Amino acid sequence: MSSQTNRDFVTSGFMFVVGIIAFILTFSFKSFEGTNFGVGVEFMPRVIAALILLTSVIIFVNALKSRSKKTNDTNLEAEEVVEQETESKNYKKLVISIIAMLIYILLTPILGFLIATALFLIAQMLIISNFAKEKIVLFLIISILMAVVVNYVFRNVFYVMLPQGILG
Amino acid sequence: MKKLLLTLLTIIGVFMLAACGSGTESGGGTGGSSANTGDTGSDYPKKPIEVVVPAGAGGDTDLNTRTLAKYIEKELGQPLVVSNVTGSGGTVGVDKVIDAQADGYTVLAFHNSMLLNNLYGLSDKSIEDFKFAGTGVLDQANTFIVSKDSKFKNLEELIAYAKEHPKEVTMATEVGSMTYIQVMEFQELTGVEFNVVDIGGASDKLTALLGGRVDIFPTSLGFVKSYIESGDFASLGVITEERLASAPDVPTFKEQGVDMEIDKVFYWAFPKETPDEVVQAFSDAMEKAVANEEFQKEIVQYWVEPVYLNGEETKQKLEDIMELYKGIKESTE
Amino acid sequence: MLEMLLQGFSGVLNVTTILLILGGTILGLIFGSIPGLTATMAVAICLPITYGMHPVAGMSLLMGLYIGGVSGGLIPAILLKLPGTPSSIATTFDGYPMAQKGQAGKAFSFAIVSSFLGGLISIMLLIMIAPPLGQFALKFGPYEYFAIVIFSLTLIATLSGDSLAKGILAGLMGIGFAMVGSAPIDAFPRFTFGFSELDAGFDLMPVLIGLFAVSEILLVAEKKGLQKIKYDLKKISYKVPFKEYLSEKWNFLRSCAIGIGIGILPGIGGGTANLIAYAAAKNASKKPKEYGTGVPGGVVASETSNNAAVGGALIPLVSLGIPGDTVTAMLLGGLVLHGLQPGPLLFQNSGDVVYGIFAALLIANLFMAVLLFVGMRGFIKLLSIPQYILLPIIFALCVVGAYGVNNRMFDVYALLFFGIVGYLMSKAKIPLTPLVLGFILGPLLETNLRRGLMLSQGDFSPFVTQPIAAIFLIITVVSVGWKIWKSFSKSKKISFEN
Repeated sequence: MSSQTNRDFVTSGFMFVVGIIAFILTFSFKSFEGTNFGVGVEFMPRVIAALILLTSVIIFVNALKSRSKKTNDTNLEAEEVVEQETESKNYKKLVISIIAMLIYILLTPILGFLIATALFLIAQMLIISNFAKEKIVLFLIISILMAVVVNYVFRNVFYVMLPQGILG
Repeated sequence: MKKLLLTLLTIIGVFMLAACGSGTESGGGTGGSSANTGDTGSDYPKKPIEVVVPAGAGGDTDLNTRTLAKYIEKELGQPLVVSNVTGSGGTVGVDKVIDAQADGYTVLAFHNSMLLNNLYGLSDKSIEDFKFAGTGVLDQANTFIVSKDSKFKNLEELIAYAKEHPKEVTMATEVGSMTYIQVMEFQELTGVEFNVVDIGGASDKLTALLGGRVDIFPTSLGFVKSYIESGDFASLGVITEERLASAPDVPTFKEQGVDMEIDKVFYWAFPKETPDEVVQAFSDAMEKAVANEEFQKEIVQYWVEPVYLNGEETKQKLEDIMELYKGIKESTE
Repeated sequence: MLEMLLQGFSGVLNVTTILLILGGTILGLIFGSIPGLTATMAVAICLPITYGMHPVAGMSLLMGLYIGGVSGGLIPAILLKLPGTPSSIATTFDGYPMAQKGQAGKAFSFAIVSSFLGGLISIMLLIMIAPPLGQFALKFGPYEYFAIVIFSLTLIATLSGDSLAKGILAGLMGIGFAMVGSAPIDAFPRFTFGFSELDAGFDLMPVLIGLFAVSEILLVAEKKGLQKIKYDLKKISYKVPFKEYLSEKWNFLRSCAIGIGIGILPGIGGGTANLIAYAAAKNASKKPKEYGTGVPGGVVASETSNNAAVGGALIPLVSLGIPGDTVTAMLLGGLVLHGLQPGPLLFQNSGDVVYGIFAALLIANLFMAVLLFVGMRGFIKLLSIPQYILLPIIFALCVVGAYGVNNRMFDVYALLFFGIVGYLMSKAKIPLTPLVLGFILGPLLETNLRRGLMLSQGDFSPFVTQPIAAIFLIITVVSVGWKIWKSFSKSKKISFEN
């Protein structure tokens, strides 16, 4: 029972639910007077939802098949690979990264692009480098420099109105 | 490498600024940076103003706005930064302006479509959500275009044919847009029935008429100017009160017995909580810009009229148009 | 014609214009090479700057931006597996594996030569036979587009990797994501759950850089150790024997034709050209299994077609005044702003400007190749910047790019959302590319189906009786049938052997 098979079960289950929800939602679409020739505004979404249901069933069946083929050598190999994969992973780092990105995006309109970017860059560099404290001066310099340069170039040279936040 | 990139960016930045500086040969020496806002006693504007155009770059809304913005900039002494905010028939751009701070540094530049989006239930925003600075450009050259080998030379022939062959004449529109409601009104007034087809934006309709997939293409004369000059297309008439100075030999719909007229109003508006003196300052700058002969020379190239209406007049005009649209919508349902 | 072109050259061969083309190309390359900043954005930003210039000078700058913007994407695609623009998605498939094998220099050489030649041939066609080719584009209406899109969607099978079911699922997800927001034609919102931010739907940009760039950053973030460069930068060879170039000639010509063809058809856009050309190259190859492991053919297909699409997209623009994608729509605006009327009279009324633009295109194309060749050794040094410094900066630039699409934060939220979607998909071994293809083509499929039915007032028959549409549908049926037959005969063989 390899973890890839497990993932396929999750995928098919999740997409099956998505397909059903999408299909139900198509009944609430509004449409415009006089545009319904042959097929209406709900036709295509229904077709796609139905096809999503169908493919998720196929993926489920395939996963079942590969599970029953446990004796197969190739599968054993794959299992080993998957195990090795998880060993070299650090999900804590991933979750912290996603949280950092989210906080960055939420702070941008409040603090403005300049400050939020500088903070994010320092944080994310530390996270990915496994908190290499000896490099913190370098990170500080690069982060602040990049934030200032990007903010300046885009606002004042290209006139892309990046959020100013409290500096505005 | 980073050093290299930085140097490059700086070089390019300098280069661009230089290009800005050396490249502008127009302007005609109207005293570019002398901000003229002393009358109101306020120091508006202190920083660049963002102009939201709820339409794509390169379209008529975008071109008219950018052209006028160039001249308003000269009056206000601060840059006007045009951003195109597309999506959902313009409602995204309209919402963006309403959600912005009402401090006079975000302005909407749009046209009749806002009213239609409200009318057809796409958006709950409309005239009363805004304080109007005014109008700088009117497009009065709305017309029905046919290709040169069309069966119809004028409206009379079109109406006669369409009466005998209901649902056979194909009209290229975009559902819920200005052209759509014009076609609805035309059907209402003349009692004919077309095959009204959604083809997409102006370029898609142009392609469809060139490819012979549709019979009639409602649009603005300016958009198909070169095709009329080359003889590929012909106009069945303009939807205005009187013949246009720019196209004196094109009859109006009224002359041909169809009582229609519509202007596309390119107005500028602030969120309704914006201070009056700020809107007034902007409105005054608009008035001066529209009166500028350079601007008038430039804008008539696009076959639109440089017409200044102040905030009140603009609001009144839009309310009249909304009344008309409501009437058409009710009678076609 | 030649005389006109020479006159055009005389119009651009002055210091100012040449500098503008050079500056435009450099800026375009920078925008193209940074995921999140695109050619469209570069043109949008610089359009107002050209107002005060002479038309030829102003348009020359924009052409430099356009060519640079489409080509710059190959740099991060090969080195970092990040497509700089939609035009270089397929370049990552084989370009990155080549770089991993220590053949980054070779990948660059192939990519630059293909870009240059693909651009050159398409610009030549534009100069010589734009009007008749433009006329050909007019023959394509809703029925024809529907058939082409169906055909393109079946290519998902080729781009699916191991599991066809998962490839199809990804394609369906792409079509589904594209359905969020205003429905085509009716414009009423679908799948928005009442959030008005979703009314306009997702923009291609945040979807694309989320899926490919942000998900890549997340995948690096979860690694325990830090990545070290595995090969010696000094030992990278850039030389490619002429024979190797020659062996890709059919691939090159096919990709060129695909790029020009897709470029000419308004509304499909260059972002799909490279995917379709890649799929076609893989299908035609004698060793399709090797595609994706780092073969030059993949790079050639992708990079030829995206530059060929540039000339293709300009064909309907200059001959008819019809823009094919967002960049050309802005160029159209630029032409009009400079007092030109794109359309039937453009050559008569402003021939000097048009040929000036053509000359500028040729020069920009040359500059692009030279700049890339000169900069090649420098780009490879990118790899010596540690990932923990590079990736956060790339994410910040993606945020700038996503924000710049429509100047609103929503697109930035979408960026992160699709980053997480892309990460989960790689975990579930679902290929990303079919999702992009579905996202681009899904709306075209639905819109053209419904427009076609409006035209025929509910009659389905024109979809199969219109000649061009019929031809494409027949090709689709034959190619799908052949694939199925092949896989059946293979499985039979295997069962015999067992």
